[in-house]
Amino acid sequence: MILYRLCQGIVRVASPFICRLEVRGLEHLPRAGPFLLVSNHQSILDPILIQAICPRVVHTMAKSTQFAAPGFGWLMPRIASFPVRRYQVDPQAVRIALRRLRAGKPVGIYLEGERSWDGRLQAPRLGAIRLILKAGVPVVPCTIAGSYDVWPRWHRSLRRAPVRVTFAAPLRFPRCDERGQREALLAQATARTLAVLQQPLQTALPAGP
Amino acid sequence: MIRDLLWACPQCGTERGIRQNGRRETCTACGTEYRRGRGSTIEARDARGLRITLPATTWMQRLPPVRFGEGESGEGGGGESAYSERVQVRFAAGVTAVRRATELLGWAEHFGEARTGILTLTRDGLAFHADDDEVREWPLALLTAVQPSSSTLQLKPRGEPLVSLRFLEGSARYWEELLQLALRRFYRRSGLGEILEFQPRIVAR
Repeated sequence: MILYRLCQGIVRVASPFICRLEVRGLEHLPRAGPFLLVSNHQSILDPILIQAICPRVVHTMAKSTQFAAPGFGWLMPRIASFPVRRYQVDPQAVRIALRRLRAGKPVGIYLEGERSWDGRLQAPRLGAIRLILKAGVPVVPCTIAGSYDVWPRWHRSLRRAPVRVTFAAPLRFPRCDERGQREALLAQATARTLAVLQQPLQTALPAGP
Repeated sequence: MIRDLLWACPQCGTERGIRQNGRRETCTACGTEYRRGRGSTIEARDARGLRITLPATTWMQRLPPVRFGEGESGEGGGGESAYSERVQVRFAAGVTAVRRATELLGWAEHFGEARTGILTLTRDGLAFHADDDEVREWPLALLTAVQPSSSTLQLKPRGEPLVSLRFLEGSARYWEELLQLALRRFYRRSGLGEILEFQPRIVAR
């Protein structure tokens, strides 16, 4: 993971030029053992900033088509990303996520499955909640606010703005090996996770770039 | 593109009115020019030069709801053309295994050459008329997924490769909502039930 650490260092040095970064709740990230880092998704910058902030290597699920892009196809697996085919149930992506967790590693997923058009939290992909229930590991909600102001989905350039990344205390859900158990807890797990992710979005960011 | 977000002009309400004009995005009906302001705000400058700057979310709240076929040619028209847009289409040409060392991480689709043409949505399906006269049709009944991806919309027709649509003048977000609306109506009309999920695949009950 030399390349991961190198990229992490570059982003840490470069991030003050693109945003005024504030990080809260870093103490909630487990220092050892598996956990699922579940985040909202406002901007293309989110995975870059989150992976730069987290002290441990976070194995992140990313859309499969990115892995076919020139350069990215080589880089992505080397910075601990693995592909998910989003237009179908992708058992291999689930398998890799569970394999990483069973090896005691953190796995990052974006609950909404895609960037938000308006910066607000969107409805979650139920497949992500099913993965949470299947894994049965601590879930650390990570809310990123302000990256939408830096680089929204509808614009091609960056503007410097304040960004706040908040890690909440880990949520714990029972491990559900059976499909019926997972479906029974789906609504409750969705509501709990969304409520925690939503909270930091209601606090205003400091003004100015 | 601002037009991806604001698929109608929030000032005059013209649907699919905002078009790119060089580096500017302007409503073809009322002449209001839109550009990004500070952060995620959008500045509108009307034909008289009056400027209003609002957060993108506030502009979005001023958009009319997406309609499909209500009193228009698509409703009850037996599959007549309802909505058309100029697009660039790519078809998945295959999948590549993604590996790290010896471990298989998954698969990634790679797309073939882009082709331009007109995409038409009717009450029963989508059709792509390429500039070179080739026609591809996808009945709504055969679509298994509708998936936005960056500024494109991806379709998965049953038994066919993934299709990626880039809207050259229109809004990907608008077309996603339009297609979802068309699918919901189609499913209801065909007795296939209510669509519960569009991703990763269409699930109805």
